[in-house]
Amino acid sequence: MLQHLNLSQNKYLRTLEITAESIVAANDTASDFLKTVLSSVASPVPVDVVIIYRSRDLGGRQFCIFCDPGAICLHHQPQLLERLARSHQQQLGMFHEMYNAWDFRLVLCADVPDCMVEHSIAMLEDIAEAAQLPHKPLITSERRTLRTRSTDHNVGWSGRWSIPASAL
Amino acid sequence: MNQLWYRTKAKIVCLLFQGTSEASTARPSPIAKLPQELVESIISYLVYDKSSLLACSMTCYSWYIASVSPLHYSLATDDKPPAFRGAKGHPWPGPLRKSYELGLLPLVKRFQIRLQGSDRSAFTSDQLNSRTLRYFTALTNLQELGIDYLQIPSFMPNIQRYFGHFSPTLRLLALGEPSGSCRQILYFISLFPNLQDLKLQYRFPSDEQESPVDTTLVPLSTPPLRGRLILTCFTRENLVKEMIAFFGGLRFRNMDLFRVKCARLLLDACADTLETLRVYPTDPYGEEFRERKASELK
Repeated sequence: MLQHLNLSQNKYLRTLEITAESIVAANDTASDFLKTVLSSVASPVPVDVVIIYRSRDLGGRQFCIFCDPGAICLHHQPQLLERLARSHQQQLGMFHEMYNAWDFRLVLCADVPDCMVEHSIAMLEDIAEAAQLPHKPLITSERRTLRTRSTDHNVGWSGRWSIPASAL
Repeated sequence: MNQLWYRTKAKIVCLLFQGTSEASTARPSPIAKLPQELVESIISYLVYDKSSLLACSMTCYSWYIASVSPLHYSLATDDKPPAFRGAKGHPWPGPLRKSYELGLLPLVKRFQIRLQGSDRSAFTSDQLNSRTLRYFTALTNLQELGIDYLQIPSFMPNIQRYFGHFSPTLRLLALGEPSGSCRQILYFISLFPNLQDLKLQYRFPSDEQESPVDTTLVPLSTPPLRGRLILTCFTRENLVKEMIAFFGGLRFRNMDLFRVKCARLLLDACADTLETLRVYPTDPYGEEFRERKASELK
């Protein structure tokens, strides 16, 4: 991995992005992966480690019969949202140890459609607070719509991906 | 654009007044007196909301002018059967023809040709006969082009005839499963001298041997490529090497790499420019990290 993703030459690297979905998919190896990548960073200033949360990471679901066409559905059981929040909170736990070893800023980014931004930010704030990290992460959102969303959130799950060029 | 506006206006009048004489006596709305820059500022809040844009475009001429551009920003065709999209699909060249007939193609900034990858689906020169090529060349202000299953060899050697008109404006190129030799893909990329972002995606990593380099194909330009590079299941190391050789290095500021065999080569090539990198812990090319304890690396 050190050979594959060695960032020692990239002096201008400011942001390291990682999707929440791929952290879940990697399970307990995600922590070692991030530590290894961070250990190779040679940037003179602290990097931002950005975790990207897609709509379905935060309880959003499409094609709900109760919602307007094109809108993201949040008609979920509260238990499901709680389970998701708990899972993300556990993921953030791995940063406790990393804060001691490396200087970086954690950013939680909601990469969701407009209609989900408010819900997502509130959920991420709750997750961040519950995780009790030594430094409060920055919480932000990217403006997205169904029309402009990319499909690369599929990456990392299985071999049966749909990768249209629409993911511009 | 004016022609389309008058057609739209006629529709509005017809809908509102259903042919009564009120149409001629109705007072103009005060909204029509707003300065154009204010209207554009208002519309800018709605650029992602298609239904609101549609509603705005039906109010008056100034609102129509402000909303028509974001409304027709993106155009896509696909080969999905109707069941995938409810009532109707968008088969090639339907949406292109319709927009051409309405004179809207110069407004399109993003064009996508989405294909499912079945045995018969590939984007070849057969799809661009004299009529469809006329529609295609009417995309005069295109900034983002996405094509699935582009068969570059089928367009050779006159590929410039098909895609050359995008040269001045194209900034982003996204290819899903493009086929062709490394030099042909490089040549295709070099058709666009202002290209900033590049996306090459394959479904699975391939271990196929590269075909011999066609040295007669010399890239036409050196695109800046200073934006974002997205590679998925990419094993064509020779293409990267050729890009570095012909384009005098790589200068991407942002990279998103998954299952990329030559990640190290790319990272080193962009050592002086890379600012943002997206990585995936599930990347199988990073398997070795499990063998080392993270504590050894601190």
